[in-house]
Amino acid sequence: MSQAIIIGSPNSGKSLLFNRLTGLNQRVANFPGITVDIHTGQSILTESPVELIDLPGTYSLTPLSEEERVAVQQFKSAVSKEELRLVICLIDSTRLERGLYFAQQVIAEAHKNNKPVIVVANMIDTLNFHNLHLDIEGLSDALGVYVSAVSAKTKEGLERLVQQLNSLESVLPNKYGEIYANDSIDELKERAKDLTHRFGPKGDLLIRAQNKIDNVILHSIFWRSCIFRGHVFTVSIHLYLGGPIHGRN
Amino acid sequence: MGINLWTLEPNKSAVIRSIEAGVPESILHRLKELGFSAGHPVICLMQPSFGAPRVYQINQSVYSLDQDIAQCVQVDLVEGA
Repeated sequence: MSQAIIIGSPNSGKSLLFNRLTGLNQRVANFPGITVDIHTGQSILTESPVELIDLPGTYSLTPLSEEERVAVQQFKSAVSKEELRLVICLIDSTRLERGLYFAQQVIAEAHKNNKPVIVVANMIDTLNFHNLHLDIEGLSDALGVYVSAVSAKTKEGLERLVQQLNSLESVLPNKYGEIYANDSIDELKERAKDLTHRFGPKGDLLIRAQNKIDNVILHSIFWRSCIFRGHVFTVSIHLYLGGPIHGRN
Repeated sequence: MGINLWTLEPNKSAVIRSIEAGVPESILHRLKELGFSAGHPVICLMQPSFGAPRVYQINQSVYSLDQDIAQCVQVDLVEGA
């Protein structure tokens, strides 16, 4: 059975995509570091069976933490295997520049082993919500690999990704892998910035929108008071219900 | 004026001057990957209370840094920003 590996940054939605494609129920949550070991499952959506491997998240192929070391080590080991047919590099489309830096590293590593890569830009629903556009065709041409936009949450774009997985044979080896492999950190960063500027959402509308929400929740007196009252309520409930259970008055 | 990144006030812009010597090589590498290298503009987006990590924007990316890391990044304030 052919294999495909899913690699991406923490909290980019790897496990949710894995669950969507395999029908499994791996634990997901809205904070990084949930996947700390490697999961495998068979895709139920593709025509021929594909074994999917979900790795812990890493921000870079130069690891910093123990989880990242596991992810990078497993990625490098898997990518060198004959049976691995495809690398799925998942990036967060709301943090495109960071994702594209990582994607170039992944493409370079896959190129060394002559393995094709599909870059999957997840969380496209968030961009749509803010009326922001991602030029998938342009990004795909410039990056030299297939790029797919999906929302693992709403399943948007999942059908197209499955079509790409079905035509694994036609996925070409990445065009610019050798260039990325020889580039310095600064050159990769500069390209990620340029690609984001050319094909990603224009301006910093998304950052400002997210920052606005954070400011309201974290800095407004009303919300702080709500959070404080919530804590008092929770502690009161624990004391009220816990006392009789422990036989205290 | 040169200050360290931790002391950059919210909504103020600065340009990264250098990263102090003595920062472990792995962290220095990661900071460079994130864009924290000399000449890059940085904006402080948020300064939460109680010493929590502060939030910074570099280009189109947002990162939060702990005090011990942010203090190692030397920046020059952008006047009028």
